[in-house]
Amino acid sequence: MKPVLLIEFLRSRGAGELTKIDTQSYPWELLIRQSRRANLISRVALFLREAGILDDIPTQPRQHYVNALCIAKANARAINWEVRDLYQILRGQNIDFILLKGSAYIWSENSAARGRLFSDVDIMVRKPSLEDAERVLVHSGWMGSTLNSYDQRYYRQWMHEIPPLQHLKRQTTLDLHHSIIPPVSYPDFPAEKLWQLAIPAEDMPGLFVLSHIDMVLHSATHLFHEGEFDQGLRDLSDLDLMIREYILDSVLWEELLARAVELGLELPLYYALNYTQKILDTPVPEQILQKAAQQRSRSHLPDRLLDSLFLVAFVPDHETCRVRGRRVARFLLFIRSHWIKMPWYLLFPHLIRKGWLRLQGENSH
Amino acid sequence: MLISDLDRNALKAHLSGQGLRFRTGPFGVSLRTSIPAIACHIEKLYPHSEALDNDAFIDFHITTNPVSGLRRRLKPQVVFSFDGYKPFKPLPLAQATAAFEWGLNWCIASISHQYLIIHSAVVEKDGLGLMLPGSPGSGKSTLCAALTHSGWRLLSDEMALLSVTDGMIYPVPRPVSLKNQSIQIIKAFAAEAQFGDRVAGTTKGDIEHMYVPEENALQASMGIHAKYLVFPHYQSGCETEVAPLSKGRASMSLIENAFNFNILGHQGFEMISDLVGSLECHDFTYPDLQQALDGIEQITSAKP
Amino acid sequence: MPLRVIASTQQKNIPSLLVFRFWGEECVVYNPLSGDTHLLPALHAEILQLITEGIRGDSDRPIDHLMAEYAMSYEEAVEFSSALYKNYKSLGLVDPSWN
Repeated sequence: MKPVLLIEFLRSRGAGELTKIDTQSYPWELLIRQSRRANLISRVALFLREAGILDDIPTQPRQHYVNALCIAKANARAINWEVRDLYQILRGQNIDFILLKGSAYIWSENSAARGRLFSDVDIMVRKPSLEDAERVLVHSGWMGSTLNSYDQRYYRQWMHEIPPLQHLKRQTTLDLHHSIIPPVSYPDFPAEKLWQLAIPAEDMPGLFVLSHIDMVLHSATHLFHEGEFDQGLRDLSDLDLMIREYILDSVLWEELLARAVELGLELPLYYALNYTQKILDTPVPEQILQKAAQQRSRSHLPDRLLDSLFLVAFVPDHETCRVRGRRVARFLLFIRSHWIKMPWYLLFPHLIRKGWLRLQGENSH
Repeated sequence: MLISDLDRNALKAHLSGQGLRFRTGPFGVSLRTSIPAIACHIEKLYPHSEALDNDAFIDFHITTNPVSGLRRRLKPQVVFSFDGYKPFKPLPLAQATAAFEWGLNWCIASISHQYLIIHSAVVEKDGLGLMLPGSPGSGKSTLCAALTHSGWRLLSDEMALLSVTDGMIYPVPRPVSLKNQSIQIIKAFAAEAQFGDRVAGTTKGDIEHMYVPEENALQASMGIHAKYLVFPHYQSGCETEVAPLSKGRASMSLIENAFNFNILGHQGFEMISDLVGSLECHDFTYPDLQQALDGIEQITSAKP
Repeated sequence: MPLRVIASTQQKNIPSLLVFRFWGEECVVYNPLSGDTHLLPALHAEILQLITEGIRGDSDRPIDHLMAEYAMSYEEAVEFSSALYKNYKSLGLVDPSWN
């Protein structure tokens, strides 16, 4: 496979080598195009600023990065405002909640928030509070979506979240979770264990984010469970950043492995470590990777085949990094993720529906 | 080199090959298309745009091609792609030129936050700018087209690019998009006006793009200060009325009309406030084009 | 793993951030946290400014101001300013969590 400029860029950022870039001759336009397509342009821009070379870039390309920084800043502001709004609403009913994914990254200002754009807000409440939470949110301007009854049923019955809510005025989408993994694939997932280690927000009783290790595990689970790789490189970059921020310490590596066992998330953790290391050069110690490999259950497909699928699937969707078979690889991984997460008697009807819609170019759920 | 310096075959070869690279306002565009109607559109309406060479920086890589696949033969469609991202649903192939123009507007408005971008026509005379923001049906494009034939120079019929750096408005003069009855009104008003092909039956009605000759447009690199802000309201059969608009209301209306106010945030607020501080603001209701032009003349020649 | 409390950088006072632009009888207020803009009568905006200062200290200032500048009785001033306060709360211009 031909090296992809954006991936090379992310790797050299990880190695602390961005300062070696010759800002006058670097192919900025190409990096802008690839990173915009991969939804990573704001993050690239932030890396350039952090490396202290943004100001040395010729005016025209620099402007695109500066604009991308503006967008990220506005996005963070909007997400934080949504969190405040949710806090007012849920606090009134004494419902505790954990911020998940983007809203958690942005609220806690962690490394995965850097230059990352989020359109949705994800929160988790305890399962017994789910109905109350939904009711009070709907009363306060977060409207239920107009999903068809198939999707409604599918969500309520098999998913770890209710159908997305949308704010009446601001159009923001809210995913209200009671767990981080669909009960259909993991019926006894111990969501209450996430609450035990959740980190409380200062001055805002009832508001939490996941513990650092759980945040990494959730991010890995989300990426490798959902089977959506259209934004795969961006999500992998989140993992890379959080691993570098939270886990680079031998004690923490062991804790991460142990926690994955405790929560039954060995497989996504292995994938996360394997592919961040292979693609983004994340410094995962060899023996940790081996341990992660040993402690997962065997997969249905040979590792070599999976490797070749994943490595292709993570390549951005831009015309300058065309690789053979990316669509097929993403489709197979999509099927595979559903294979893992659903019993066959649910899987086939579901896939026929979703796979068909997907091939028709519409959004899957 | 200008686009008009390319012969028709060279133009088509660029468009269907690596892309025709040209400048519009401050932006570098690369356009790829296999659709002959777009080639004609560019040839007719963008002759004075500078053609860029291969090492010039390109802001927007655009493709506007027919939708491929089975459906293509039954119901030919065109899809606009900004470097692989498709912000709009495909349109009927006959609307290809409109898809290109709307798509380029979308690119500018969603990427170029070095400007606060206000949905407004802007024209200039003697170094003073006139902004005509307005919702569809207000007549801003018609007015703007007529003004470019009445001694005013065009900056844009669609968007005011207010620079974050110096607070000046910069031109991005492109063909003026006219709809429905406006087309006849302008053809009757300015017999010399030239148009591209009619695009019938779009969601906005029938459209024709009016060519803006070089001498009727402001040079791309020149920024201006706006002096007049006029919110036009077309209302058939009414009396012409010029009403002063408070600066508070003017601010609110401009913010409502700014595409990227939410992106620029506090900075955008300061820019709007500074802009409004230096503007004479009016609400303007008029019954027909001639009265509109008289009204604009009256507003812009009055001594403060 | 040690529990760490999330930094409270987001918990900034809204009023200390509000941006006011007075235009004669009117004022445009920008709230950088919500990104919303509001057009208020200048008098109301003055009270909003005083309410926000009051939160940091002297909570009677809006009332004193109304009595001194607009010749309201104490009762009128209290009623007026608390009505505004309620309204601002619903607009997200003052933080409901201060109650």
